Amino acid sequence: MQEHEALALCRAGQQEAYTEIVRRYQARILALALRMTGNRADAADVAQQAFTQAYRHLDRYDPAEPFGPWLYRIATNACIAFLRRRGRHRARASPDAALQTLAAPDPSPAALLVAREDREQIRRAVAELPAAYRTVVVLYYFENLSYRQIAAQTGLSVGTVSTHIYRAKQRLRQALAAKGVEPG
Amino acid sequence: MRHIQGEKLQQYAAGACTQAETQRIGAHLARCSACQAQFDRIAGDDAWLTRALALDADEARWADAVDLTQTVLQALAPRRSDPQHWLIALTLTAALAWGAHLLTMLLAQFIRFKGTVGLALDLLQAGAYGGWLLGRYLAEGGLLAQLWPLLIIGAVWSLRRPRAKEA
Repeated sequence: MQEHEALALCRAGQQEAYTEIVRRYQARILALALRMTGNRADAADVAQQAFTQAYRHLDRYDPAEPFGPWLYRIATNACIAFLRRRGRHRARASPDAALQTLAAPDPSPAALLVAREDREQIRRAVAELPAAYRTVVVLYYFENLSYRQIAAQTGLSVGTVSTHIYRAKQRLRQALAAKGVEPG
Repeated sequence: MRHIQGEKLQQYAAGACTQAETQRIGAHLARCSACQAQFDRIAGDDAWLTRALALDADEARWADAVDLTQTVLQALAPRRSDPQHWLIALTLTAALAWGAHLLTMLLAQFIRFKGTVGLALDLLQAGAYGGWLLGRYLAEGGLLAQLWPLLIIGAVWSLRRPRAKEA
């Protein structure tokens, strides 16, 4: 079934057709949610929430536009809302939970380029950034979105996105320096 | 010489500046070693952050393996109200009504309210008493005893409907 056919069926009230959409996008939404939330259980919850919200607001989706970016926008907002709800205190209280997903027995070649210890420290530092900074960092460095795309997805201006990324990196450098990590 | 701000260099490194800004910053970097050094550091940051945040093979396998289809469909399904919740709500309502009834009776023994307040209290007392009676009636199966013929008709009707569809 094609994506637009599945979406048309969903809009006609056939919920079963939505499984096609979920199957198509779940891996990417889960990956985004994992980087944003820092652990798998929360990532699965947020991804499910994003899909549910997207279905309930399908009437607001313009079929002339690609569905993916619209869904990612909803997923990003769901992640931001989750991070704000959770607050930073939980990340501080249980940093091990955030790192649960980070220990990989079989790292990819790309990940091997950074020493595992340093990579974990970097991810931990990213997980401790404020929600606004973490969002732009993940969207830029993990999702590989351009500043314009991030601006469109978050409702920020391109200048603000740039400032957030710059300041986030400054904070990361400070946090990493305090832990004796010299990335790069 | 005025140096370029870090935020602007970050924007320049991402290729998000306007054409005029790009030209201006490019020309500045060619003659300013301090800004060029800062720019190099910013570009270097981009490389290590991209590498550090990339999905591990284990994470990628997890993201591919998780199937959200059923949980999403379950979340979308309309929730049916639990009969037990209704029973608890009715019991609480009856208990509150009984309490209100007793309170108004007690008040009426000591204070004689007149006018609107008196009328409101009388109505509250009557309503609370009615609520209490209804609650007790329901709790004792009174409604079920009265409505069993309707329930049987409803059950027979619901059994007949699929047959009608098949025909």
